[in-house]
Amino acid sequence: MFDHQEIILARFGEIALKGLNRGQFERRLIGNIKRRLQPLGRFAIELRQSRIWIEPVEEIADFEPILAAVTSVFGIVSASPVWRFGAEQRDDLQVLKTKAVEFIEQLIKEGGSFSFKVESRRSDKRYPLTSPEINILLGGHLLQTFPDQLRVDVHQPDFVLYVEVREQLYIYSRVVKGHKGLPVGTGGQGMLLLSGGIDSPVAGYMMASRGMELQAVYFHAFPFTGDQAKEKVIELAKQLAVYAGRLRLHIVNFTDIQLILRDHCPQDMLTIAMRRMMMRIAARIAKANGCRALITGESLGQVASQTLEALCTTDVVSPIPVFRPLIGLDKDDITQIARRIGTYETSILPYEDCCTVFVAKHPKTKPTLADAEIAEEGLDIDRLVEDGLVDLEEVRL
Amino acid sequence: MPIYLDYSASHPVYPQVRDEYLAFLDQCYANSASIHPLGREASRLIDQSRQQTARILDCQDDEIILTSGGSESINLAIKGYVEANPRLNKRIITSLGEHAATTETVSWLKKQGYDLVLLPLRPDGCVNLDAFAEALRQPAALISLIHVNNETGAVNPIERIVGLRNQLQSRTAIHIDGVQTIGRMPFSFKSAGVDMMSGSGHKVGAPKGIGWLLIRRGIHLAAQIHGGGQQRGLRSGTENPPLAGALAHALRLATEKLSEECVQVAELRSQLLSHLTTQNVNYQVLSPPNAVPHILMVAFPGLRGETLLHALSAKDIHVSTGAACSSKRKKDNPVLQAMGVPAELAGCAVRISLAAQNTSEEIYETASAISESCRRLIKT
Repeated sequence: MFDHQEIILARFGEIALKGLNRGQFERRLIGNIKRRLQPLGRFAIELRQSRIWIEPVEEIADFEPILAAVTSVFGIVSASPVWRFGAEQRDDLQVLKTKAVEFIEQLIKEGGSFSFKVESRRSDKRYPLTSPEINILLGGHLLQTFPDQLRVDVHQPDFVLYVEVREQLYIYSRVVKGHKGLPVGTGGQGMLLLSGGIDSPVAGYMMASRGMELQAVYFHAFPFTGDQAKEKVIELAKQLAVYAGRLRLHIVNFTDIQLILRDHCPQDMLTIAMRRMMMRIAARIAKANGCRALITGESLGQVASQTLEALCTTDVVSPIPVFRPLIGLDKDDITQIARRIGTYETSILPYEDCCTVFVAKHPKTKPTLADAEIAEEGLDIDRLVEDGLVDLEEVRL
Repeated sequence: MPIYLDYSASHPVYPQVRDEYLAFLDQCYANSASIHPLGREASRLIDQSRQQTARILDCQDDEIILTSGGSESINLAIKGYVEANPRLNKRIITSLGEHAATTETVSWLKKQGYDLVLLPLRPDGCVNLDAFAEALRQPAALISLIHVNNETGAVNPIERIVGLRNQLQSRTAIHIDGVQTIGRMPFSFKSAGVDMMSGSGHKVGAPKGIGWLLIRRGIHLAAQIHGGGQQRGLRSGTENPPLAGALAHALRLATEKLSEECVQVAELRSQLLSHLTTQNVNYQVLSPPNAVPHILMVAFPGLRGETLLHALSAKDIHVSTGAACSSKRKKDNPVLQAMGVPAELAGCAVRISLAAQNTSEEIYETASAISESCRRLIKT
């Protein structure tokens, strides 16, 4: 038997379209992969011909966590566990046949019958067979070896055995989809308003998928919201960090501000007044931490404070752009993404969040800017913002 | 030091019980079914504990099945009884004031084809006896009612319930959920006249992981856990001598000075309310006048129960908003709803559950903390 090494092949998509900046994007992507894999072992990571090869430096018992980590890095379109072999007798066809049989044995050991095809790519033209010849030779050999388990279907096979001829031989079959997008860190930094609900983590995920590095701010209103609500938000930030990489969560002690707003503002404008304060404070924290945009999970018309009129009243208090990546999405679609990225189960834990405390029975759905300003009349806004910046807690994830 | 006012959720293990339990763990590690001397010693501890438990609960040794806790006991009582008596009318009478262990078990049986009668509660939290008498016009397999309500402390009139059953449907068995009974009021299984009674060790100062079901002789149940046939085949699984010993010990401590302790707890309860009054706190007691003094459901209008709970916990004072087992529910409190308490007021309720271990100082500190929270957090 001939030995093989298990390695991972990762493919990237959109970066390949980049022009002169491409190198910068690729370096960032490799750096992100390195950081993500760091807790899982030591790896040699190499970029060759627009693909990333990840080779464990030490023995790895289970490739699944590595595969999951690699495919969670934005910029990666897909990844495959690959067998590499034939360093010395690459051109001996017996080597390819033997390893392919061994590989297929592993694949079909659960039993059953499968359709398949072989798809080859020959980068090194010195190899004795052309790509179509490899397909025919190997396909025939596998059919002969597994007459009961395999049949050929070149249109819709159950699996494809991919063969690549390079300085060595590479075979693989499984292709795990990645989250695509652009490498985090190539799209500047944004400050996410994270509430604990379903939407805001999804909004963070979407902006991170466009390469934006995230920080987050959470408005804690103890005792109206309990410590469990805060722990829930920290947990959500942690889950978001799986995709967004490092993430700093800033926790604002919002209780006193909320009490002042409650006692001062008309009930039907309370949520708007509260959100305006949150925007102001978040923008200050954003600026102080190098973030050039705010990100919220608002979706047009979802609740009273997310009508166009309401959004206009909150938008104007932020001196930096407010990104709302969910603005045109349906709640079902948002929920689906939340489930896919693993934040949904945490989001639906039944703890009060800062937005649901003091919710008016009949909030104004079409507030004007004048309504908002009248609601805040007599309040020392600058002072309240400053108060919000005192006692900031920071959690690094 | 934390101020613990959540005894109905779980009673701390008595230090004496803990010490003895740890010693039992070292000494009685053998399997009580083994026939070697160590096994016999373990078996003796089980027997002695069973005898002591029987004395305290006023039942026969062989009427006790030791379980893992209250929920298992209730499941065994309800499911075990109807399974063993398939010819009885497939009808179960229970109430709107039950713990989730009962409501979920009977809901499961409903899916298996049983009819449920959910008796309404009176404003005082007790079962409406007229409705009960009405329900007894038709035969039913089982009546399962809570004795002392875990949220309000309301005490169902077991004597009258048993009387009506005897008069109207003498073949219908009665199970009572007595998880909050022991240590809060006197109880005798023999005199209560019920057929089954469930209880839980950790509510009386034993460690978690043990409970009991008392089954009157002549009542047949089908086992819900099958295996080695321990406990007359009704509850298989290796018996736990140290826990059985701890339970007996805790039961003794929880009941030996009961009347004295009830007076003390009633005094603490009235101190709390009088401090709140003195400090001008607007409150409304939702527990009925007949409630055990240990459980006080009280609402502070304008302040959500959960908010007050958080505010108190920041001061190391620990209460709950209702049954801890249902604390993840976001809906209205079903027991208070059944008593006719408006949802808004019910949302402002906290459950303060006391024990004789609490001190007047703790009560004063709690009242002050509540008062401060109300002043700061309620909109004026």
